[in-house]
Amino acid sequence: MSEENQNQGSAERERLGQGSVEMERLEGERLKQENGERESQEQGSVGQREQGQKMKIRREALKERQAKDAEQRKRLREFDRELFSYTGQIAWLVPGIFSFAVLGLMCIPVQEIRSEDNYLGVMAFMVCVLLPYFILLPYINITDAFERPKNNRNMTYDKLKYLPVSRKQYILVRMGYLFRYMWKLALAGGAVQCIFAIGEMGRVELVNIAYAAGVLLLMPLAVGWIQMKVFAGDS
Amino acid sequence: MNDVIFEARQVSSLRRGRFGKKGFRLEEISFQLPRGYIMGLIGKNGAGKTTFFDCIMNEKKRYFGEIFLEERDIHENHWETLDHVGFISEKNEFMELRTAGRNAGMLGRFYSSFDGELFGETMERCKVSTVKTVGKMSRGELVKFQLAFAVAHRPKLYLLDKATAGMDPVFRIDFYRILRELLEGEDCGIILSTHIEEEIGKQLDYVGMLEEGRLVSFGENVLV
Repeated sequence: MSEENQNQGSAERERLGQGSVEMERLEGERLKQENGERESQEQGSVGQREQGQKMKIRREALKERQAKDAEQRKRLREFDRELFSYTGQIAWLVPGIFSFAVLGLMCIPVQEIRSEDNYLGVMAFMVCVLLPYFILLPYINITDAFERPKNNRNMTYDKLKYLPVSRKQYILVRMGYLFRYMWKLALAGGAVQCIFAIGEMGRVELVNIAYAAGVLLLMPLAVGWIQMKVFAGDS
Repeated sequence: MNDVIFEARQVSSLRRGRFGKKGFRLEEISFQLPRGYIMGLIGKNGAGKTTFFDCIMNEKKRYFGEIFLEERDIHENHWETLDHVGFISEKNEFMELRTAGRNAGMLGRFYSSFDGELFGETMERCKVSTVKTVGKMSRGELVKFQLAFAVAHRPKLYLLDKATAGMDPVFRIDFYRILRELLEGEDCGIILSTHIEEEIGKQLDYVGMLEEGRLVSFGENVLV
């Protein structure tokens, strides 16, 4: 019996021994797996850190570039102020006359306009083409309208193109001047349109506001943009 | 070779011809200019010298290849690059109805390091008055004014497009002395285009010959 028990015991011990070896093997594998995961996590985090640093450097470089760009646009506006003092004689007069005429035409509510009203074409031409042109004129030409330089190369862009001023800065600054003028005109025109709409029809409709905004702001800005692209080309 | 201040790599441009004719083209121009040297671009009229300068100076000019100023591609941020380039041309790119001083004041503000005093000193050395209207200057005076304007903002690269043509021989000697002083004092390089044989023989450290848009030869000037 005892021999049987002994045999059983040794078999049991053997089985347990094998089991513990197995368990040790499994434990080792688990530890290895954990270490491997930890290493890949660490590598991943190092890679992420490097990427994060690169992004940070790129963001800082972009901020620096934007700051330089803003500084250069400021210098361009100072240059324009100085230029305007030499070339402003006709510049304030013509847009003023056109604006006055356009405000007069805005007295007619858009709902009252008939197809035979030919003045609309004239108004569209004045507002969309001539007004932006004359507002931008002092900043496009380096001379007054009545001065004639030797070789007729009097475009401001020609004098700036070999300087550290980009075409984009040049156009954006001038569009800024145009926008500043046109939004005030659009506001005044919209107010006149609304007042006369209330007087004629007793109400203001969305089309009155859209008419003022479209004719006095959006279309002149679009035409001004095209003009600037042309004036900032090679002459 | 010293470190390179200017490099052109396979620069090619294409100008479309009209009425079926093939336009003028720069073809794969490549060279390096080390810091502190003068390089001459020589070639007959229509060889492509001004077109090459236009590739560097004109933001809108399209070309293939790469141009580097101090290892930075010039067209990456073209306007920032122009802060380091001084351009002197036979054409007048200044405001003709303003005086030299007024031009310097109005246009110099766009450079990050424009020195008005240095401009005045250089104008004095070149014997040109700052109160003279640019439109009334002679060709030589105009070049001197442009040189003074360029020197005042301390560029890394000077580009001279036929600047010495029409200059009197006495001033030409002094002009090159000024250029040599610039090379000693500042870390810069100079590329100039010229037809004048005397200059090619005596004044240039490197010579590149352009022919129909191709750089047929480039190397150290053995005649110096």
